[in-house]
Amino acid sequence: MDNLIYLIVSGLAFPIIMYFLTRAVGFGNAITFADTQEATSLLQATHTSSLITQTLVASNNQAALARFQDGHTCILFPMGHKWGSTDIDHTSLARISQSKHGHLHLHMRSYTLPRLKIAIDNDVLRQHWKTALTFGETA
Amino acid sequence: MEYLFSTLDPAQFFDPSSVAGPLYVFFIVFEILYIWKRKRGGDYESRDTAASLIMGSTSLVSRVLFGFIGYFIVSHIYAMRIMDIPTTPIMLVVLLFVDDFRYYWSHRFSHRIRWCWANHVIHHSSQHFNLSTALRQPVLNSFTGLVILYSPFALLGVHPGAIAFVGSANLIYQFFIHTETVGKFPRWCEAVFNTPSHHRVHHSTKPEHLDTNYAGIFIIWDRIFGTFVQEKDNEAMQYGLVYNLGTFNPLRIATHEFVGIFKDISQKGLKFSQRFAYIFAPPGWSHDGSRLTSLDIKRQAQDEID
Ligand SMILES: [Zn+2]
Ligand SMILES: [Zn+2]
Repeated sequence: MDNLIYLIVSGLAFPIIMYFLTRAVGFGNAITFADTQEATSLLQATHTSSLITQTLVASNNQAALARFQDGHTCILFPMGHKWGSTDIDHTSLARISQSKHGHLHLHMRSYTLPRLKIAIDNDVLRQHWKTALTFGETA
Repeated sequence: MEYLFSTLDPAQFFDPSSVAGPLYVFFIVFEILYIWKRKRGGDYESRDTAASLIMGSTSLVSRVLFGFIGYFIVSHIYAMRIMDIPTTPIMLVVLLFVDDFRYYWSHRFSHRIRWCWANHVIHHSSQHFNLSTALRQPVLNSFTGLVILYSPFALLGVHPGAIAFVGSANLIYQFFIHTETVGKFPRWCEAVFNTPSHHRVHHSTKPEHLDTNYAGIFIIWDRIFGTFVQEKDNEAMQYGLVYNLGTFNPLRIATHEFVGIFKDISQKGLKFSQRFAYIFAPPGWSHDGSRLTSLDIKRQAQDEID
């Protein structure tokens, strides 16, 4: 039993210490794209068979959304230092909430992608995102 | 020389992995500082590292809690042994080699049977490849059924303590091959041993790299059974899964494929054989052909080249 407690305590302490060590040396930052053009080419790479008709970017350049000619909608998001992407349709989102800073929190139905934060600093952009995420239903 | 053939008592063996903890800490800190200072040799990401290490601790706790299941099964088979193989230092060296053959098949089954993959996928779920990735270990090892691959050893009279000892040694060896800080070793070494170069290929998501280099310590098994792929010089790698996770939550990392299996088998209107296949067929199998297995992905990539 003592062994198990020791294991649990050290097993939690070590990850926490390493988390702060890696942050301290600068490994905690999330990836960003330079501009809309870079976001568009990253998103285009997820669907090479259809062209992008619209790209929306988050204010912190850490998330973007693309609508494709063939009807696909894809979101680009940071997974630490790597980009992740996911196709969404009208069944993907359980709900959208808004933080007090005006950022959008997407509550996804996917077990492996439960939440996405989209930093947004103005009303016009927020409305564009909402329209795209709800496929025009709240436009 | 005499010592090599002297009989040891495996019941008295310490578990090598019980002393490996400080070793792991030392080398992980060293690798982090090396990459930070030199700005090369790979990458660490805070949340990814924390998730990997929590999975490592959870895996150890699970071994303490459920390890007895495997030990119970192997001990019972050992009780029915047809002969006795005394545990000697030289026997342990031979066992390390033969057990690596067992590891090769266990690992291969872990990639090709979805039930086993649901457990092993944890180890492949990081998009990074560094020493902390090595500790991102499965938590439900005791429930895959792969413990049965130890039965020939037990039946031939290899003591379960000796089996556990070399199994631990194998895992410690594998810790050190999860790194981008080293390139390739001399040719003779790369020809015989599993090295960081070979294991980078195993964690890569390129179609031609999927389901290759299953080796534990000796890469010769992959060369013999046709699953070996050589890393090209200065090859840029992407690690992780074909469909990467969008979360660092250890609970979701540990359970996501089991959740996937559950969702698949609880679909309405499936035949029993289809539900069975969702559990035991290769990952990516689907009853309507809407998904891709690793073989489909390889075939598609090959078609694009041709
Ligand atoms: Zn593997
Ligand atoms: Zn590995």
